Amino acid sequence: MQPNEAMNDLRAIRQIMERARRTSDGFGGWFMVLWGAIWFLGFVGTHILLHFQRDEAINWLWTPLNTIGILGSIYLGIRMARRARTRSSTLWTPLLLYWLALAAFDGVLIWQFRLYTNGLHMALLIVLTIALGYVQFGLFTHWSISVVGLFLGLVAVAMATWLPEYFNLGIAILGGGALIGGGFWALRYGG
Amino acid sequence: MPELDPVIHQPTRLRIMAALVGLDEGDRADFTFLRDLLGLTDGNLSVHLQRLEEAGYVRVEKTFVGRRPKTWVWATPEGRAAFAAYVDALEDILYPQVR
Repeated sequence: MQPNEAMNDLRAIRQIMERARRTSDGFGGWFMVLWGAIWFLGFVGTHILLHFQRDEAINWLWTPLNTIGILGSIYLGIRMARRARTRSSTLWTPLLLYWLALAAFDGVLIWQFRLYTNGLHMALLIVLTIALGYVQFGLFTHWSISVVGLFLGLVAVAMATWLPEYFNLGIAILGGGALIGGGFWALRYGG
Repeated sequence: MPELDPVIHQPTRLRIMAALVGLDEGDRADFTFLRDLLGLTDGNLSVHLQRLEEAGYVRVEKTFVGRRPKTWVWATPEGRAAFAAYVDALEDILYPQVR
């Protein structure tokens, strides 16, 4: 075999390995892109509704967005599990249950501590819980997802502490943007 | 000139091994996923998988999901080692002075 043939073979090997990894294990990445887009739309919408004192419309905004997110997550999990039995695709059922458990936990906290009377605290709790979820999700899939979760948590605390009036906008741009960017990064480089 | 494993050296089987080794150890690829990823026909993929399985480099498991047949494929530890040795041999050809 000539060196140029060896180089062509190595190049082909690298491309196929990357493609196999990307297309079989994209659950984490696409999951983050989906929820990043939902967060961006939801938190920008919340900021606008609060600005125009239309607080009562916030639930009407988030309910369909969350429904799209949940259905989209289920679709992604099923689609990925059919293509390759990878760490993340076989984990998607227990992970879905884990996220549901986190949601239930948040629901109990919001109810017991009456956080529904304070929109900022309620939103902060939810964002921090999700950030925790991403940190733990990344421990089982790819470290980049944990980094995004950590960044989300830091942004949420910083915005709530120093710029509470821009909390929703900050989470939309920085949090949603981090999820979308992190998701595409994970798709490109693995995770 | 380093010896190239003749089982893996065949272009289609090389691509199959690359795809399977590209997954993490313990992960399995669906037959149709592999076929679509590599742009092969069912028959072509089956023939080459059989050759790789005879060499002990891959395992093929046929199961059912409900009533639908499903075939899972994965690289064995021997297959991963053989593939790694093949890549080393290619690099030896490319950079003989380094080694």
